[in-house]
Amino acid sequence: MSSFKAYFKKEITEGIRNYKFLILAIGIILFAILDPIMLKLLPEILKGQTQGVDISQFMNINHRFSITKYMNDIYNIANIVIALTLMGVITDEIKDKNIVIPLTKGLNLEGLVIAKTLVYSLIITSFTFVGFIINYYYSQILFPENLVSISSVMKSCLLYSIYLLFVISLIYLLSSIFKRGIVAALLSILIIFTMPLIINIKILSNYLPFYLIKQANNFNVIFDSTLTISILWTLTYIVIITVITIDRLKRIEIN
Amino acid sequence: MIDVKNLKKSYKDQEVLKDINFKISKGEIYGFLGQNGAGKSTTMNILTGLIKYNSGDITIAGFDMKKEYKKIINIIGYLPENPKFYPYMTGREYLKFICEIKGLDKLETSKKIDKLLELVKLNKASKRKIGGYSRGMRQRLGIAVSLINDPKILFLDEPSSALDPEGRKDVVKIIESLKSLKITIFLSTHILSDVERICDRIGILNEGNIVLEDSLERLKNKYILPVYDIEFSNNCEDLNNNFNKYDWIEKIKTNNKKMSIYVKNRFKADRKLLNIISNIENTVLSYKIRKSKLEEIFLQVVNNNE
Repeated sequence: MSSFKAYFKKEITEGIRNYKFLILAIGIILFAILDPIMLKLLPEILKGQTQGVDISQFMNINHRFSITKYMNDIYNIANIVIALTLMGVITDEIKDKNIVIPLTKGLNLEGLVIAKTLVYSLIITSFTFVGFIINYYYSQILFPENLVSISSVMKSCLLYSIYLLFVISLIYLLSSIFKRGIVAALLSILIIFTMPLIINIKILSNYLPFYLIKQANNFNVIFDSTLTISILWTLTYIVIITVITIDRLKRIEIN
Repeated sequence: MIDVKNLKKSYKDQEVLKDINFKISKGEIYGFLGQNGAGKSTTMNILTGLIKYNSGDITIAGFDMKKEYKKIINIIGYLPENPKFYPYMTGREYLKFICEIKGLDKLETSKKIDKLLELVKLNKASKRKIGGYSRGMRQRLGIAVSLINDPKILFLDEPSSALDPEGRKDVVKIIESLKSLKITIFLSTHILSDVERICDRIGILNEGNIVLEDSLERLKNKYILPVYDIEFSNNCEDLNNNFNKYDWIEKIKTNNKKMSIYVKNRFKADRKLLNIISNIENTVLSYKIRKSKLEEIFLQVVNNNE
């Protein structure tokens, strides 16, 4: 427990002083503000580009469309930002030998991994909720048509957050396997973007974390048995991946 | 305090430690010498539990390394060769962080940190970020960290190797001050002058084996015999016959008024040489015993084993 507490505080200090939290905030929240504004300006931009022909007439830009656009950006960009920001969280401890002194002082590796996972889970979940709320607010002001209820958006946000927790644990696992953080980041990104392809395999679709994203994009999240099972599977993956990460760390010889 | 028997460690096909045996008594400062790549850091990492070993028995303060590692970790302190800290933390914050890992209470932590910062003379720099510390300051912070749990045994891996003379002096001074605290110190280094200054006993590691182990004084007596440098008031080149008849004298070198006498038995030389000189009709201007250096022992032992 003492290792967990020490590393929990240390990760918060590191996140603030090394601007990791700021980068994550920008990666997740910036598009919440920019997307509705860009969509609002899009017809004007397109008009200028196509010599007076209003292409936006063919597009149905409304509140729902604006939020969906943000969700897509979170999936495409936030995942990359998260992977690149967190790629060194575990690798660097080993590569830079920062872990040596704590280990000789009785560091508990379970405490270290859980503290790191919890800090970034809380931060990314908070930023995701803040991002969704800001995006909802701006989208509502700029596109008052076809309004989606806040509860629907929050349910989608919850599913996104659970999915991002899976992404964090995946990055940590790969970060404990590969000596170079960038390899862990690129492989995580590859897995993340391969999942939408695998979900087409019907037998697997409900058991993949990406199913949560698919459901979240519907804005009609009903916590039925299929979705509940999918959430439980994702949480199980997170636990299993975290256990493997701890085991991996215990086997590494630092010299 | 430390008992190592038949310790073996291999990395794939490479046998780093072949069959290490040594014992260190309570309160002793043990100098662990060896060339780069001899296996000093590997031994150190094994003794601090950072890496596993293939076979052998290690007992530290009566605790078995394999079965009671958690007890061992509470009584040891370790300063790695290049101690790495989080550069964005201040020295005080890092010490606090380690205290938190150890689960020390806040009041105890604060007092302990102040005491340690004073010991390593980092009080003034304690609120500066470690990223801005010099190598010597980091090394001193490392010593403070290693002492945080009031260890009975301290493992110091090349604590002064990469430091400038000033930094080295500071670190050696701190280690000397630890002697009074009755802490057993296992010091790995290749700076022999530091060993001569602070160690009680040494072990020389060469190609995965301890090739020599004894107290510093005994080693000097055993391995290196002193040379007696005498300066006469007149030319002394014709005086060789006065010394050649003694079997405890190995050879004599003369150069005008200077004579160097190499002996086989230092005890006989100490007792008889002055008597012989006093009977010679050539005034002695100076009489010096050239003391042996650890470096000579080290080179002799290592070269003999290669």
